[in-house]
Amino acid sequence: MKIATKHALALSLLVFLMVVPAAVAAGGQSDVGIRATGEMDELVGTILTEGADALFANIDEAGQPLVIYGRAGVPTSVIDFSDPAFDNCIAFGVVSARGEIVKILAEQLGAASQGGGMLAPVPDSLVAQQFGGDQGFSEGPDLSFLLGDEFSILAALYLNVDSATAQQRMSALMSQMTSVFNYQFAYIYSIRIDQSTIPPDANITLPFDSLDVFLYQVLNPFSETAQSILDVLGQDGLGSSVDVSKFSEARSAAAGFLAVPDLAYLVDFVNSTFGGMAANGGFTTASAPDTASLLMQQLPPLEGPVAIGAIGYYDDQVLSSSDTSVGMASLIGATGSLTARPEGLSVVMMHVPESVNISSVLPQEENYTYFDNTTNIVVWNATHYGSVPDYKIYFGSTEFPPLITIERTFSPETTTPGGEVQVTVTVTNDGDQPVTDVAVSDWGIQDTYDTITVTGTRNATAATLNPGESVSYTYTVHFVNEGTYAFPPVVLQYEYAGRAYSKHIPEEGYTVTNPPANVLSQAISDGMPYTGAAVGLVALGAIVQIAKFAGRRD
Amino acid sequence: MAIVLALGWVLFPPGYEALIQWLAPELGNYVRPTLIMVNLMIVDPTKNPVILAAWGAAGFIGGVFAGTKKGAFVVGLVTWLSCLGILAFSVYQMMQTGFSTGSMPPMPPGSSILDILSIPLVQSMISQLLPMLLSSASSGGSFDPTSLIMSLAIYVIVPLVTVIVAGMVGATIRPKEE
Repeated sequence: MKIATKHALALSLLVFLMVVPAAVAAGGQSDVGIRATGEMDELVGTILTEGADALFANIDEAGQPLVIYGRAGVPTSVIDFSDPAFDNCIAFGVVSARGEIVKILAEQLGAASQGGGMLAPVPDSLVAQQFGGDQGFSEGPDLSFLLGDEFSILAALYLNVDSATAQQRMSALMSQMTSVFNYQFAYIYSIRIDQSTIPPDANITLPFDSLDVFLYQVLNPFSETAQSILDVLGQDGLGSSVDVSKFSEARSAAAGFLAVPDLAYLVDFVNSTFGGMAANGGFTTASAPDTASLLMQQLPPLEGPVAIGAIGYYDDQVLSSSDTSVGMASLIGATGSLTARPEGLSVVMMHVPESVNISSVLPQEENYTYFDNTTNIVVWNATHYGSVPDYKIYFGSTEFPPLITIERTFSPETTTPGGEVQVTVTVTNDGDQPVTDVAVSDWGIQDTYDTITVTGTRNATAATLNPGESVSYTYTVHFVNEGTYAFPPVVLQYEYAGRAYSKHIPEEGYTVTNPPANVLSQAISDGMPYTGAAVGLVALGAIVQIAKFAGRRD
Repeated sequence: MAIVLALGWVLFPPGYEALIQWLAPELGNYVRPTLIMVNLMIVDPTKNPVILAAWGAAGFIGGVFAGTKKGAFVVGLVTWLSCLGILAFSVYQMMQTGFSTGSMPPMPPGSSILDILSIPLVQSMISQLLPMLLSSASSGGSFDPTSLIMSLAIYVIVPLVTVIVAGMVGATIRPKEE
């Protein structure tokens, strides 16, 4: 049975959408001003058959936003999934990241697994690292250490097809991506996994004939890959209000999508390989079905392409002591109303710190706005509200600290080996309230690089920083070697209204360039007298050869 | 040799540049010449045809200048040995500066490990290493690096053969004197 375009696989988004209402419902002690009484079964069915999109914003205690727009469902026709390039392709996707967001997500996931939370502000380890704690980069496994902070990657998997055909289809897939999105690729890696990969004495039988995995680096800037990801996912519904530049110009951002060109092919493979649903809807395995299997059992027969993806950013402080509300529209750069999807489900969620006293939320209708005043999470059923000017949370003034800016400048902007750079860090109170016990520092550079010499102060304090006032410090770094030096985050701690706050600006790179002439002269100088003799000999030989050649021509 | 060095500098894969920006602060200013020479001297012809073409071009021009097959052979060999000497010198100088392997700096902002994975030689090594590691892990046997060393040896010989053969071609097609 074909469901045409009315299908979706939104497992991640489903979890995303179900956890928050469930958490709200579980908060029995809280005074739930707006009660949640929706029909959950109906909700799940809608998501699975008609797609969904969601906007999520978290504001941390320092007033810095983390905003995510996620979407699941039938991808747009911008990619032609009926193209033979997608035959036997079980999945492909693009992930792109810029700035510290990967590190933040890794830290937050680590914190969550240790009882912290997704919604914690600045990672504790980061603060400890900067304030006399363990220095260096050996604090636990940190994937971002190697992963870096700026990358775009395309991955595709082809199942049960010969190697040459898989390569041919991958090339066709990339051609289509280049044609549609002007993507530029750099090959990274490909591997073919089949039975011949497994040594006979391992006694392992693969559940498929072959699996070809392709990885390519996408060389386009983040703004272009982010836009292309939204183009694939579709930008109707809440996405129509998303201004991509708001994301791509934030201090860190990430975007990605995962597409299944033909869900029926994937489900058939999973069922035939791992058991699961039989044709009559029963399970072929003897074991008792788990929750995931039961969920799968509820799915209608599906075929055709499905995709799930998201785009998000983390940015500098947007809320300060003078603000009394926060709206989703400004966070996503919307200029008009926020409009829900015409079909399927649209959800908007916002979270502000538990310390903030929320006075009201808009729009607010019983059964369609969920609010937990313990966790300060607000969820709106945007599908019900249709088109509204904004989704807003209101609170009293002075709930957030005043606007504090941190700036780090390098003078000169670049240098050569043997040169110096003067680093100036300035913290300014651009708000309308004073803050106290200000401490700012960026200690880590000397501990990261053995070859540099640092002179001057690398921290500053102030008992009180009144509106308009600044505190700053300057230090000098002397470089012997070329390269790009990662200056660690500047971490600021201060107090406001009896509460301690922390914020930081991310790691920054400073490049020391070494011109070819410098490299050559240093090599000759270091290798004297042998290099001098060698250079002279080569030059003499060249002159003789050229002279002989010219003489023969005459 | 000047042609090889110049092309090696100009045709430097971006992945190597990312590697230099990452490692040079700790390993010193000889990381760049070392990696340039590594890129020139260890060539997987399937992954890095551009450098192979550079060796061919250099050999051809050297052969045209030499005029004879014997001369072209000598020119090619001397060019290759000179590059090997520069590589050895760069590695020696890098070791002289001394570095602590325990203090690996972070990837510089704006780059990622993907840049380094795009280096042709790294891709070749991964292609060789991964199946070997999978094989040794699944069979419980020890890691046998023989095929890896053999591949590296071939990659080192490829430029030498290329520059000599191209030199001989250059010497052959050079207009003969009346």
